[in-house]
Amino acid sequence: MSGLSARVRVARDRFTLDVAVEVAAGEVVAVLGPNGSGKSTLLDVLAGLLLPDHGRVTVDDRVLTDTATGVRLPPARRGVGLLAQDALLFPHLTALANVAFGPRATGARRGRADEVARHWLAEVGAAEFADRKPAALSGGQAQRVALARALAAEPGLLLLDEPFAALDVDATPVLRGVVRRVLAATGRTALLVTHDPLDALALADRVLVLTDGRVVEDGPTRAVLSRPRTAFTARVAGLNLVSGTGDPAGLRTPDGTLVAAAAGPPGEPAVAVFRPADVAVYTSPAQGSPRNVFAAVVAALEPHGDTVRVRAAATPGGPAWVTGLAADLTPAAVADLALEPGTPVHLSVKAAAVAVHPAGTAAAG
Amino acid sequence: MSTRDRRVRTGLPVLLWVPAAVALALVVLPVVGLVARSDLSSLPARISSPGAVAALGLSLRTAALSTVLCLLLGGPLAVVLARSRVPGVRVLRAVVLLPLVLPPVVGGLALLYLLGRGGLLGSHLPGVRIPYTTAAVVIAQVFVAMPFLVVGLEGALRTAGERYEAVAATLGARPWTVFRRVTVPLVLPALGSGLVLSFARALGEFGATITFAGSLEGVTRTLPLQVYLLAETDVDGAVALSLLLVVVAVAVIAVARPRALRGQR
Repeated sequence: MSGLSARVRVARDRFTLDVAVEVAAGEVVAVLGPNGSGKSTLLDVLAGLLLPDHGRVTVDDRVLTDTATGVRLPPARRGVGLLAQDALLFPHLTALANVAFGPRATGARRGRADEVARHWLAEVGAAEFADRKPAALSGGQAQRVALARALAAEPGLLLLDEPFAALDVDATPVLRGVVRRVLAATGRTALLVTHDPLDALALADRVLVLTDGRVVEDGPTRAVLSRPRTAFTARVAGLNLVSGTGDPAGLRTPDGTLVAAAAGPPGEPAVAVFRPADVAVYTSPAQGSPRNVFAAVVAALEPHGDTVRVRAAATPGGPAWVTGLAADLTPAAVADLALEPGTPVHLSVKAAAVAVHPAGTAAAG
Repeated sequence: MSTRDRRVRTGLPVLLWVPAAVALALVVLPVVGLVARSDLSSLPARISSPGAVAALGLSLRTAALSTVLCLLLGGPLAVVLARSRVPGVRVLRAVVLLPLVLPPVVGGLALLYLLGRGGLLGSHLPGVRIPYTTAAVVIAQVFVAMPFLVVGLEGALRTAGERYEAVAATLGARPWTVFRRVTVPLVLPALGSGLVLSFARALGEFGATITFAGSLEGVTRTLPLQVYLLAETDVDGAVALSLLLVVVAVAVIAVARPRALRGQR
């Protein structure tokens, strides 16, 4: 198998990172984990900035690090690209020169390097920024250029280290779309480190959950997030998730229910995602409005910070996917509605609060 | 323990204006005094006297050469101090400051006992005479001026950090390419102002020069030495040359400083 194959062991004061990571060629794998779980250490080892105590890293069957034989290629010769939280564009160069930096550094002539740079800038939708200096770019624009720069160096493996964490909320979905499109179009092998399950859902075929330096979960993105087996995954995945097929009006569940939202990818596997805080609960059928209303029964009430999380279950004979949906209510609201396990309820969520994402190919299975 | 009295003061305290004004006066008034004392009618003649012209030429030549040496030697030193992870590097950082805190006369004596005929190094260089030559002037100037470049540049390198360099490496750039295309451009403004400061310091150098290089007309007698010499005998001449030094210093800053600042953004 080509792609990334890494076995890494690094002893630290507080924990030992001991993981085996395989990423098939062209596959995108997300690494989720709490702070201090070893995500950054793993990236540093792969990028060649940190030598593991024991380990072997190969990309496309090329050995980058092997402690047994003493191989340790420096960062410049590994062909491992990095897109970090900060764009880190070279401030003295234009966007075009930033993107052309990689090809130039590896020996391309100026004209050829500029050509390659223009291609990648167009690819990420940043062609019009070519002549701007980084100081004249917004966060989202700069991150596009940084993505183009990383890709222009033709890395065998692309590391994405919380690439949207520093962006404002408006810029994140757009850039996430750009990354998704470009990764799909180029078939790049990539490892994505993130806190945000939406990143994983939108971009990754597979998810690894890292806790205390070990891989505790590994599987198709949606399977891991919808059936959390650790406290961390449950918290990270503290989202309502409905799978189905994309529809111009949102998402169509297997039983035919429409979850109204912004348009999903028509006819393709997709997931609708919304936060428990955006779900309202009524004991009588809700007022007609552009809302999604799902009949359910209360399965459990769990204290959750200063709110109460209402876990729903399917009504007898109703669609099964309702089971597991959650709503966050204030204790006062729970008291007013006299909710208790078994109470029939109607869950309501505004179409605007629902995001529909294409499901990664593996995640659809 | 209250944070109240800290939080109230967001404006500029009026009290600071008084010492600030005194400080400014201390810098500006002496120059004004110099101009007031000078005899403008005889100024052209005094400045174009053979002794003055020789001293000015020597000063400009040696200061320029010293600045180049500061760049060629001090630049790499700054990079090593900022980037190297050798254990003793913190001590070295302090040692580099030595010429800044040492009285220049002491520096000149130290150079004399290192490179003089019987000196530590000088005694091993038969047939090479360094003290009381133009070379000695340059060495003395580099000695006093280099810390200005090293300290400023090293600070800029540490502020810039290594993150851009790490990114450049992941793009396939070898260390020399990273240095040339990322490290140097990032610290160009600091390099510019460091060079200006070094040049100005070399131009004004007196104590180490007179101790280590003496005061031989046309060979080691730079403009500051000429001023000192004339102050004993020909006060008007000394004032005229002092004004010349002021003009040259202001010109250097006016020409080079904006360029250094412009690069910052």
